Amino acid sequence: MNYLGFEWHKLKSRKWILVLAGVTILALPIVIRILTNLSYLDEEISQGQFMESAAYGFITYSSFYIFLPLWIIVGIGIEFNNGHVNLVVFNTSYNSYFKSKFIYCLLISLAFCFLGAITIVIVQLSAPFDVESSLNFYGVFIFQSFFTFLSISLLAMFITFIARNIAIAFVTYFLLLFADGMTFMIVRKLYDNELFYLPFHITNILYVKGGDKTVDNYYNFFQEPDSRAIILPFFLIIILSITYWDFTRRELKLLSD
Amino acid sequence: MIALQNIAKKLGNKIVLESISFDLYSNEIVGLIGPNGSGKTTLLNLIMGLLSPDSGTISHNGSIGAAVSRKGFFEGMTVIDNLKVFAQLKGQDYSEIKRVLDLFAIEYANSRFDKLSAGMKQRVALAQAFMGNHKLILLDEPTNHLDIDSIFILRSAIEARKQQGTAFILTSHVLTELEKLCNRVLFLINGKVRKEISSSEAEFTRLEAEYLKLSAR
Repeated sequence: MNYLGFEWHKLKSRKWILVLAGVTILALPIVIRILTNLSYLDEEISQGQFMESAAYGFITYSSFYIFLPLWIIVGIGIEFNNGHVNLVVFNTSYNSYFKSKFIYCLLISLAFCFLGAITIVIVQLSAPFDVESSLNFYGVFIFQSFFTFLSISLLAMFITFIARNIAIAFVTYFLLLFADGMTFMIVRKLYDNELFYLPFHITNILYVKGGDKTVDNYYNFFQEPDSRAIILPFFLIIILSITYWDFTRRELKLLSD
Repeated sequence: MIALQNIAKKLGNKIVLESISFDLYSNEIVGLIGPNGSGKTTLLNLIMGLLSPDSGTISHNGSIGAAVSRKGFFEGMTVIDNLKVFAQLKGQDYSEIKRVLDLFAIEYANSRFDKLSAGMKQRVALAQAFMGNHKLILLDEPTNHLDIDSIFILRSAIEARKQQGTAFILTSHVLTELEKLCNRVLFLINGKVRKEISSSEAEFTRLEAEYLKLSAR
């Protein structure tokens, strides 16, 4: 089966997806441009931090505040809600369905990465001063954003496959995100220890130091590689394995009218 | 074509199927008769491989098509785009879509699925099942919501595929429909096959009386 063609056909044939794509393509660059300019005008960031702030803002806003989770949870969850997953498994296999959803996550991560690069160009061209930035900056951003988006996508895919329901997956995702953030903050305050390996923090390790989300911590992974990032691929392999194991062993909801 | 041996299945704490065994051959149409909750849909889901039996084996050769529900389609997509999804899944050329659209007289291929009536959706579900060269097709209450013309179309589609060697398992509460189409019927009551009647037997024309006797009404 041509997984890419299969997922692409489903994406382009639904009106709500086209509407969501329009909102994502318009809203993210506008929001990031406004926020970066405001941060600079309010003297929260220096000229040297301007591009880093835009890059940091794009990854953070698209990953955690509705956009990327919406694409993944709704895109996959709807197929559990409407029984489409049963028909795909019946006509192909559990393995094929799982692969097609992995490809979907890759596709969405790539699209967000591409949109991110365009957003950064827009921010640079419309900056209130002459911004100097190198191709190297864009290269690093594309690497960091793609793998961060893929990590978040796989985490959202894991939650959706376990929940097998859009509403439950959404609530679980945001509860976990909240619990993760609170735990990180409380432990750092009380014990001066950074729990960077919490699920949502470990997915940030490629673009923010220690998984701690502040503009100041946005860094060039290639200049100052964080050795702890080695845990990220293992973490992703573990959640993918659990997702696959659960999906192939737990029976699907009975298909009937 | 397909052989079921000693199939048993529990859903939760409820025993849904017990000791189900039967064979089905090419060109054969087997009907399943039973009250709601007797295990007909569970049995079809087991044959589809969507559920695993707790015990027993199901073996078959050749691919299987199925219309066991109007679910599984994308409500916001047009009929033709939905069928393209299934053509890709089944590795079929898009010309196959035209064939099944013509077969079931579907003239609303460019309409959105959520705008269709239940009967129109049922025809799309049937078209999807008939797409490809399946050796066995499972139909769960296929005449549900269909108008009379569509029932005639379905009947001839089944007969035509039967002539080409396809076998069918179909469930229905319309006993006259089963009498017309089936070579054999199985009475599935409380999860067990209580009786099997072939079309060559005299009782075949008295399915209703037989059903009432078996379900002790």
